[in-house]
Amino acid sequence: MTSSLNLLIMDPPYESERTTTAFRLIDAALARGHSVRVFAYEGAVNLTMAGQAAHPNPLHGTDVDAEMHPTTREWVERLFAVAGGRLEWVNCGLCVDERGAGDWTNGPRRGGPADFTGWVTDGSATIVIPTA
Amino acid sequence: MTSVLTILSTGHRATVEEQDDTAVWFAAMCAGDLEIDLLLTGSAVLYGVGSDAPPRLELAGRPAACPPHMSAEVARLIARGVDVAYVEEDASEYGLDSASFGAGLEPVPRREIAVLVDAHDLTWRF
Repeated sequence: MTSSLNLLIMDPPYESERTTTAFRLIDAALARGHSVRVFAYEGAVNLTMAGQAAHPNPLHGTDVDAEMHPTTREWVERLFAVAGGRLEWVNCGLCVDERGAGDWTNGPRRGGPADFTGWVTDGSATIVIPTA
Repeated sequence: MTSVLTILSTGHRATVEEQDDTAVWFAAMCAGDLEIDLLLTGSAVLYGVGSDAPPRLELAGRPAACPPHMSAEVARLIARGVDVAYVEEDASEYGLDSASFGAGLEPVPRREIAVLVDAHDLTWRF
């Protein structure tokens, strides 16, 4: 039986392991045929910013191609690609505005807490991963 | 040359996304211009343990090509002449003793952190 998973995340990219944990949960849920709805709150709206670019690692002597640094923006794009319409991603509009984070990649849409309250009252499972 | 004690108190902070620990990376990048020493405290003591390659992470078909291998990073620092120590009591809280750690890492009792700080010109606490 498939169902929906709601996820509220708050951490900005490149600051903690919680984002990776969230991505792994989303990937695993999608792989099992479930639908996933993500509410990106506060710094998490920066996960999808279109301008994110991979970088080399001068300490290791690796260039951009060798380092293959996975940006959070790219990982979100990949999750949308494998989801086949089963991933919904809402960036909190007020959080976006105060961070100047409005230029995001294809897939997410702007929203607000009303989106999240609608999700959590329809009987689907909800996980909140707060920032520290 | 100015000496710097880098104190790292949190391990595995965004290391998967960064493919590195940014504090260790910063210390390594500065090691040519400054006399850098590294003190691992808290969960960062785990960086001195283990030598296996990290597990390969792949999300939605996109692998992380260069996963962080922190014990190897610490070993590289030691090979470059950086003194790397860990706090004994913090290691004990993780069930680790001196035999758990790689070559070249020195145990430091918590009460002697102040001595280390006093022995350096600058202290950077991450």
